[in-house]
Amino acid sequence: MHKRTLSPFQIFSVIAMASMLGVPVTAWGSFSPAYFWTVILIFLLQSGGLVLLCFSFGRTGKTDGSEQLSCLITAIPGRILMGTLGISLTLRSSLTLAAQAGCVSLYLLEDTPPFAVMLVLMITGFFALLPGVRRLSGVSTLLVLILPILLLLVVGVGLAASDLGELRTLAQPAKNEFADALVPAAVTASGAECALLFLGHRQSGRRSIIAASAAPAACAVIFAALSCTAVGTIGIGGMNARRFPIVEAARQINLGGIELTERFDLPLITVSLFASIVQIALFTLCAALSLGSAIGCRRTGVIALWLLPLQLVLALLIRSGTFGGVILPLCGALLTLFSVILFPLLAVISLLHRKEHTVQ
Amino acid sequence: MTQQAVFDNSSGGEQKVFTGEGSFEKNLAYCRRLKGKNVDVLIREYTLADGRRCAAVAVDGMTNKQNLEMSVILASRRFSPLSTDNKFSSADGFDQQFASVELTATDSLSGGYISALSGDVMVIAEGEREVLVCGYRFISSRSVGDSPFGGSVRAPHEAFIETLRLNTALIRRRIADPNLVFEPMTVGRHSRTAVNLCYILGVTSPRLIDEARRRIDAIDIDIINDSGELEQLIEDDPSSLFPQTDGSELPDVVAAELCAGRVAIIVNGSPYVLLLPATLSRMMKAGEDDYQRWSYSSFVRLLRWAAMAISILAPSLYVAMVSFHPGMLPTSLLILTAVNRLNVPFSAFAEVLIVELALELLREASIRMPKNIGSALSIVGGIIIGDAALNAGLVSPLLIVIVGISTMAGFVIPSYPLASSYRLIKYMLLGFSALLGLFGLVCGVILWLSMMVSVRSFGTDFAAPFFPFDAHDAGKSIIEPPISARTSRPAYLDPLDRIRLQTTNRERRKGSDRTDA
Repeated sequence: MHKRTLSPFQIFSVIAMASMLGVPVTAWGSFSPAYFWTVILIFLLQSGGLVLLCFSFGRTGKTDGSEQLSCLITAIPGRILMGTLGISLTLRSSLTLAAQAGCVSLYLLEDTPPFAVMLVLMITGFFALLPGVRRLSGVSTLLVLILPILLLLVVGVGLAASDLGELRTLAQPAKNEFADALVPAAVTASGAECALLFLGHRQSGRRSIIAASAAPAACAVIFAALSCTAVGTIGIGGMNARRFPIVEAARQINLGGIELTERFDLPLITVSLFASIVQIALFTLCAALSLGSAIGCRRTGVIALWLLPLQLVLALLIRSGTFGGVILPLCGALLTLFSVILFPLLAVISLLHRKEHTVQ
Repeated sequence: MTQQAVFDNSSGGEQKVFTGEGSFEKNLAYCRRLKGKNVDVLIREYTLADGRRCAAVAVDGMTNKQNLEMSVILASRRFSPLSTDNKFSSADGFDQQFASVELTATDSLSGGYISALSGDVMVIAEGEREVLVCGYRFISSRSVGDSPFGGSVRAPHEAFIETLRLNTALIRRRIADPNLVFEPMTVGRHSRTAVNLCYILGVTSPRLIDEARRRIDAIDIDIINDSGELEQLIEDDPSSLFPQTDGSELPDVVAAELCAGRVAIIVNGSPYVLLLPATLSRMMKAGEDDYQRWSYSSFVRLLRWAAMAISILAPSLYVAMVSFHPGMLPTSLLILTAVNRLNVPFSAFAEVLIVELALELLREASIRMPKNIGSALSIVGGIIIGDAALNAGLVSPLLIVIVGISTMAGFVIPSYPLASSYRLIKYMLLGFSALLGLFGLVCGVILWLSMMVSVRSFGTDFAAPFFPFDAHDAGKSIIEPPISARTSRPAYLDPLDRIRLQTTNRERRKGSDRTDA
């Protein structure tokens, strides 16, 4: 019998992979200490928000995102919210697609057209999501068990090779930089909003709440470790001058005596490739689920199939620079809305809802 | 000339014992019709002590002739049924007249005849409304010997053979528990192959037993020769690359897995016993792991997981690195690779494919060759052809090393079906890395993982206990804990009784020390 419920570890894995395990494939703009702290802050806010969200969703007993929201707020705003989430996830998926295609074209396949790379990424992601939440949560679980080994290698070797004195600059963020850093930081730390769709499938119990909130916190730790490694290796200035700063930093790590690989970016690129394929699949599935909820259509596979060419076109537009300046702020604003504002709001509404029930 | 079938297998074709006047002739005529031109079916007529006519039906070569003559015919001659309803089973002294432990009376004439075809002796007597089936099966078989899949240092050496009853005895010898059940089943319209569903009551999940029984019952095929055929008929997804039933040829492994809560299927004529459900962690475990010290077993287990990764990924990584990302290799290794490949006329992918296919040919040929020629073939294939290919510059020495290590690592995987499926996945990943280098390899691995997590075996996930993740069982799958710490059965098997080890010797000693104090 196929269980529709997700175990606590599956919940953890899905949310962690949706946040790409905290491995930023790009800094979405310029890296600064303010950006670093904003990303960590958003991850932690998401962590707290998920505790509240788990608590509130646990009481509704619904598995469909739209139904859950309808329990808390009236049906039409709930559907509008689900539709907005679907659009933001589609945009976010296109951003990952464009960024990852750029990374692959730059470091791995110089002669292959980015369109071909995007197409392969999409097809692989679609195959991984095809039977739905269960397969995707399975792939996420196995990757969460495997990939930290590679990440530990990069971080361990990186920290050993880096100049830790450079890290002092991270502790002094300029206050005026925070406003500029908010949008790129929200895009980097996005992913946990997928939980709106998955938490309905969770197994009841306190362990699910802990697992859901631990995922963004774990991603924050990985992000911090990788950023410190990169800053320690190439400095803040070096990171600003590069398109994929953390990959570049890993590339420059050179440990005498360990002749395992000439470039230490290989494990990092491998991790980021795994994470981004699963992230694309997760975002596509969640976008299909939320758009399906919004328009009242349960044929998720068909919606996902229609979303694929749309995401591909959007990714090509982002890469060409036509809409990059519009999509990134839009995506960042929507994700900030979900991560920072909506999670606590839903929890508060849920608590009020609970009081009404108690009175009745 | 078209010959009509004498027995309708598709509808079951059951014929009850004829009764009334002239019934003995009718029963005998029915048996003779089924016998037809068969020379191996023996029908021996004789007279009972009270003068009534009687006949014994048996198959030459499958029945112990001495028992047939001494026990059946002589006993029948002495035997006079005293029952009022003319049934063997109601007759006084029925079970004491025949020197057979397997003695049954049935009113199905066709059923009795089919039992006779399986080696039993059927006795038809005039005026009786039942036939007697005496279990005198005697089939010569090879003796219990070593496993064909390789030896072991510490583990028992005996392996299953082709005779079902001997195989059940090998298991029963290890589990003398009345709860151990060998449930008889028959599969195959023509072969009527005897199959035993084996489980332990009170341990194995009833859902698993019912599911296995239901799937075997649903099979309607002409012949089952081996458990390999049955395996493919009962698996969840025939199109999957992954094996969905586990198995072993070792009685000690089967006994241990039965106690863990698995179901075993023993097929007459097959020395390979199926185990349900199949899980990746079980397939990576060798029988010997339980018998050695936990520290060494854990080391070997870790080595095995690494070997699995090497066997699948090493050739693909070679192709990806050499063809697409040579800059990622350390400089010294890059120079070595370039020098080695200087005169090789093929691409890295073609080179790997040639060597891998040559090894596959060698492996397949060495299985089919007579044992005496097998070693000669290894020398010709491995040394002479390999050396010649190297000298001719067809392949690079580095590649030979990589493919050799990958092949060797493949042999470390204890489960033959799992190793075979990984061989196919290796080629899939090779194709991906030949097309898109490391990027293609990552995509291929994602596809491999997503295929793996989709596989279910009799309601249990193939990737269990890693997916769904169970920290306790997953830890035990990678690191073999000391036997005193293996207190529970795996949760993913859903056993009725989870407790495996209740009290250890050490705890008992502690208890007695406390009492003394």
